Amino acid sequence: MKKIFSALLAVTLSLAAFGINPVLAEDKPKVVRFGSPGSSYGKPLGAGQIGFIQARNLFEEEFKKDGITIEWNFIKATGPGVNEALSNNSIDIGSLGDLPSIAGRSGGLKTRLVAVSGRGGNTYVVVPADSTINSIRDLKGKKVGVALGTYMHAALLKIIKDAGLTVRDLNLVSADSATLNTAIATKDVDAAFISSDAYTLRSRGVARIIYDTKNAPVFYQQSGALVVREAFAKRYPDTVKRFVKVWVKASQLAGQNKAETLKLNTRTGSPLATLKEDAEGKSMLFAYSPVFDEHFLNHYKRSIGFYKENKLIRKTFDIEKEWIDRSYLDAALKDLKLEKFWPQYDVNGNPKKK
Amino acid sequence: MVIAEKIKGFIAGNYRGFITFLSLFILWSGVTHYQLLSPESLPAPQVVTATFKEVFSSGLLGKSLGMSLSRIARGFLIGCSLGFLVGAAMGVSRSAERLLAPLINAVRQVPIIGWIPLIIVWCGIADMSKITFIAIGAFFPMVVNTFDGIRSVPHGYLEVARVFEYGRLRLLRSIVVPGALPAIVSGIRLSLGASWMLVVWSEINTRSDFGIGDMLWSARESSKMDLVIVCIVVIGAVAFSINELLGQIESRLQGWKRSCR
Amino acid sequence: MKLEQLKNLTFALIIPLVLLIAWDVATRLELVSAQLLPPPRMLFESWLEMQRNGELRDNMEVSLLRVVLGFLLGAGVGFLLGAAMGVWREVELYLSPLFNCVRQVPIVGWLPFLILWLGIDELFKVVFIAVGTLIPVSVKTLEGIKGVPASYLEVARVFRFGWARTLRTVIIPCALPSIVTGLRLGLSEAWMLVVGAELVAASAGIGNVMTIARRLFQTDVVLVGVIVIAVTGYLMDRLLGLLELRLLGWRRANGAH
Repeated sequence: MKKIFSALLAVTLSLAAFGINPVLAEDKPKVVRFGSPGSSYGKPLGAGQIGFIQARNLFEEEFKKDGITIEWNFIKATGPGVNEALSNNSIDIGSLGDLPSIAGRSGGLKTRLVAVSGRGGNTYVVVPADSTINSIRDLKGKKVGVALGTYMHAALLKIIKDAGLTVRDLNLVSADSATLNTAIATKDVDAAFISSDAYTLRSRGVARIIYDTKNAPVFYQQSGALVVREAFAKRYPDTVKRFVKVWVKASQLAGQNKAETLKLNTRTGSPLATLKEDAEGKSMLFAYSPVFDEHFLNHYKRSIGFYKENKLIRKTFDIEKEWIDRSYLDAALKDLKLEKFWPQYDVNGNPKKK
Repeated sequence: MVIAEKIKGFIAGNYRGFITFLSLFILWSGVTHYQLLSPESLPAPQVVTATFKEVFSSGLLGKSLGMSLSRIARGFLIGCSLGFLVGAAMGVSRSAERLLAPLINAVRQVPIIGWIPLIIVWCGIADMSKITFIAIGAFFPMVVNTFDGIRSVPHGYLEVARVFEYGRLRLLRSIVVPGALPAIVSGIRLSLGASWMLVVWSEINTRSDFGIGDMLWSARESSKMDLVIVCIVVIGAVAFSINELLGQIESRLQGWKRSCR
Repeated sequence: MKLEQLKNLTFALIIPLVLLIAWDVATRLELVSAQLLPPPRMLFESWLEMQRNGELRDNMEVSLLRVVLGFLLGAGVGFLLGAAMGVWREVELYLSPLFNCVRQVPIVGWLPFLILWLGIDELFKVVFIAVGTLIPVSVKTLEGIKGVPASYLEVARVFRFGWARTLRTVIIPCALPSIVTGLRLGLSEAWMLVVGAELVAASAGIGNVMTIARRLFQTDVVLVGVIVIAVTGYLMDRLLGLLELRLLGWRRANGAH
């Protein structure tokens, strides 16, 4: 009896000892695993902050002293793939578009929105060069390709709604960007909603651009999110705070140096000419501001309602109460003294007059 | 002398097959030479060979193949052994059969490919999902074949064993296992064959960390049809070797069984 | 007998029930996150919803149509090919090395070229399924025909049976079991391939539904899809099994199995 009792005591004590430890001391992760959409060549699909973080070694600058490294994952399944990676703990922090981030959160993925990752993402509607289609309305009954679950999908729904069409009026084909680029060239689809690859197709003479979101309402352009797995944030709040600091710094650099930003963006594999044309008239400060301003909040709130209406998500949620965690961003802005650096953009994407 | 005879015999027996291959090759070269199809649709044989050499010497082929094979090895071992254990349990014990058979038969109906989206959500896109997928694919043929094999041991043999009062272990060792062996080996062959196909499918669907399927699909996406052909040939060649190897093993075992009669 | 059957049924249900309960409990206690393993209730609701708005029926129709077309095409060509190789030795000698080689390549390998030449639409899927069906059907047909015992053919020759009569009364009945096995294999292959093709590129069909659900992070829909696919595959196989019984029932009755 005594033996059993003392054994039990020993076990309980040791369990308690191990149990207390993680709570008292905040350990640091060995690796921060970052994920964002990637192309088939394993290159990042969007650059912006990522480009600067990589080029200027901003992450290492901040974390080298702790011996923490960063693992870059450019996921070929793009936005939805980032969700999956977050879901099964393959990555800790992710940058993804509006539709996938909201779809993930709505589907129960436990993430925290800690910063804005990139705005003004344009969607282009292309048709084969010799096609007779000239406007969105002409798409009725035609075979239209888009990568489902990405921001282009969201843009498609908004664009066709404007022209009075619904998804049922189109013959929607789902395929990834690379397949779509080929499909347009081989006339396999009548039209496709793609990213700035459109310019490359146009310069090859295989496609015409019949619509782009550059001059469309800002709601049609994509606004991305930087999310963190809730469990990761709970365990390593300090690391997340410092990562957001790195992010903010990169945002500042991207916002101020348009030429360099575009050059770094060629890491995605897109030619510089394409990127330049896509960024025409785009304010870099707007595009790479990490701040949760009115535009962003409105965009996401509106998106949630829109997606629910279009049956893309099943549950709505309150982004301010349940998703956004401003603490990291506020701390980072204060640290870098950049609280007043970015203009606050209003719902139409225009900077508010102070 | 004998070798020359053998070669002559081989050619004489198979020359028609060679003719087919040759004509196909000529057709292929002709089509590409005269550009009947665009070079993107069908690359010329020389281009394909050149690409093969390039990809082989750069080590990319070896690396991708190595990754795929290592995944198969792991997935196959897990699925096959589990399949064997479950199949054996079901074969030997009637209550195990009643308990497990309906469930296994029901789950077996899902075409393997159908599991992919689910496994990806559960296990991500790294190695684990591919290995799980392969293991599932290897599991079912093994279960069915092991079970069938054990059940097909002629009752007569079991009677004899009972008459001679064989203990459980001896029964298993000298009667059940040898009797079931052909079916088991056949199961292994099916499992392994399935594994090879499944590793390619899973790599296509979860494009990460290299692998021959990933190479194939990347080549397709960048429209490098010559590389696609190289990948297809390699995949086919490996499948063939696996099959041949196991076929040899199987016939050896069958040989023993036949001579026994 | 009835009691025996009842006992069997109970046994059969034990494990599924246990799993179902464990599943429900796990989701209620949030041991697993909801998007990794949706609660059974949610699955059922999604299934009902999909039934109600016709989504399930429409997509299944599309997938089944593809399967049927591809299967018929592949089985037909496969049968002719296998028969030709089985009946005429010359044909076999010419074609079988090539055929065996092509056979080695898992069907996946055909995807890039089929997509390139035929696009990503219906034609490619039907051909893809047809190719997959063709292989087991032709292999089994060949096996079946070659398996006709030489003695039967001798008897037919002695009795001076004409070509057609030999074919009808000797060869086909002997080869039939093998051919039917080939058809069954072909059908299950076809069903698998339609899902596989739809996972790659599609605008409708059950595979497409699952892909969209996966992208929009709706695991419950994916699970519903898996179950529907399994049930359909099972039903199709049973159907063929019944057909086999009718055609080959005489054989079973003879005890020749």
